[in-house]
Amino acid sequence: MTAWYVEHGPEGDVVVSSRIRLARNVKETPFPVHMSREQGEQIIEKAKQVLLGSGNGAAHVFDYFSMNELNAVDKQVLVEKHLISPEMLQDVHSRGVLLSKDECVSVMLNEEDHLRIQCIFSGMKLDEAWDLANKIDNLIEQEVEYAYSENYGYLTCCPTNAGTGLRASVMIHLPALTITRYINSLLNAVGKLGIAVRGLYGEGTEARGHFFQISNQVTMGMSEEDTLENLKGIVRQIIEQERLARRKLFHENRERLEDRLYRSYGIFSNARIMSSQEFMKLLSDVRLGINLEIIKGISLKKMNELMIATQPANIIKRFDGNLSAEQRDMKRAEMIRNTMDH
Amino acid sequence: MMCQQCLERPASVHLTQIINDEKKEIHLCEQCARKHKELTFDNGFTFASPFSIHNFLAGFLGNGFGYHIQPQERSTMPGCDFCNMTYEQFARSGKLGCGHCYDVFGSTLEPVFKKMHGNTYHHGKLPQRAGGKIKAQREIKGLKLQLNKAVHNEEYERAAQLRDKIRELEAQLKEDI
Repeated sequence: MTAWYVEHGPEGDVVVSSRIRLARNVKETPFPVHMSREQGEQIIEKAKQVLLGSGNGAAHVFDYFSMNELNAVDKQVLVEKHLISPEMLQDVHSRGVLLSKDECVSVMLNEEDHLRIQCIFSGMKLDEAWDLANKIDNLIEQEVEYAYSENYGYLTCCPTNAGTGLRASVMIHLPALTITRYINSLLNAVGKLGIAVRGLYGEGTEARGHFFQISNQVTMGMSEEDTLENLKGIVRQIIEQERLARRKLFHENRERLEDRLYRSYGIFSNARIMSSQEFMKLLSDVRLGINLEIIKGISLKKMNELMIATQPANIIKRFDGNLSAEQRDMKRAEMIRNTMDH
Repeated sequence: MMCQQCLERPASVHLTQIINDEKKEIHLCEQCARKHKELTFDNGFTFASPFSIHNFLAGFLGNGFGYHIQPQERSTMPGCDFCNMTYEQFARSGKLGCGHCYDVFGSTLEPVFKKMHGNTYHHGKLPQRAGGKIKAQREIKGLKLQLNKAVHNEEYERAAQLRDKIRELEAQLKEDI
């Protein structure tokens, strides 16, 4: 397995990544907001015991990182790669993450819940991500008794997650539906089906670069399999609508569309200073150009890589220095040029 | 009308919020309104904070209050002995403190589950540890439903089979305990 952002998975023309998150708590221990430092450390020790031991059965090799010991840049790098939530950045005791070396699995410890098991894959791979998350859940459960009730299922800090504790989400690129303004009616319709649509980095964030996150809302009364089938069905329809809108745009407004995409391509490939906001805007056009075969000789895989590599903390980490925003914008432009040249 | 927050001063700020076609009214005095995080004060009063799921949930719980529980009784509502979460804390944050809170606050949570998930009963994965017992209990529940249906349809032979199966499972459950 390789990390989601260095690959180009199934339905990759529309779907960037698929993610499964399971919220779990340990029985007879207060949830993280109410627990003592000692109880927090016990949770971490248990989880480490299961996943760091050799032959953990998950076929993934894990490393442990304590949030107190990671520096601010390293933490932000993990957020930008979607491996930990922004919530983990807050200075709270006994927080850590068990991260698989291939960056497909991350188990956040003592975030809102004791355990948040996350699997993330490139493209439309919800079933695969669920299988792996389920397997890791079973492994942990061999050592830990979960807070569970017959009526309410897995008990979580926020009642919106109780039941399955499952959040399945798909990161999806919808430039044509946005340009043609079909997106609003689509989002309205989807909202009525127990499905949430958010911006790139979760609740309250804007949909930058026409990237959206689509996820289930309902966690009680529906099995995990039905939840996934429901979401997959809706995502499949959105994928078809987006592809249809792309073709329609191309056939009905070819010159205008080509003009727009080539202009973006030109700036993208040649600029000397680029903010992350401008990057996302242009990336959206370039991706659309690649998908419509207007822009040739560059892969979507490279675009996925660039999207993460050019995030602020990732740039600082890569160039190992204290870069100002302006210097980062110059580095970003340079990285894009290097990618587009090859 | 008294302020719903402090219950001391007369309410002079009246707000109406509509969530999922349900109308929620908030009446506050000016001091409490000023403290109210969701309010901003340009061009009068508006709900300006971005939508957050916890505010939303607290809204649901707040609604529950209005119908069933007098504001004065809030502080006397039982809290959780295990993690010391009070009902007021729970209603304000929309979050629970531990697994036991689900038992303590269960009756107020169920209407929330109903609104949010359309359901108050888990139908998904069973933990392997507690799974065996719960699985048997689920099966018994299912069989009892079938039994009622069979009796209703006057399928007595099938009803007898179902009854025997239920007895068998119940006996097994008792042995396990």
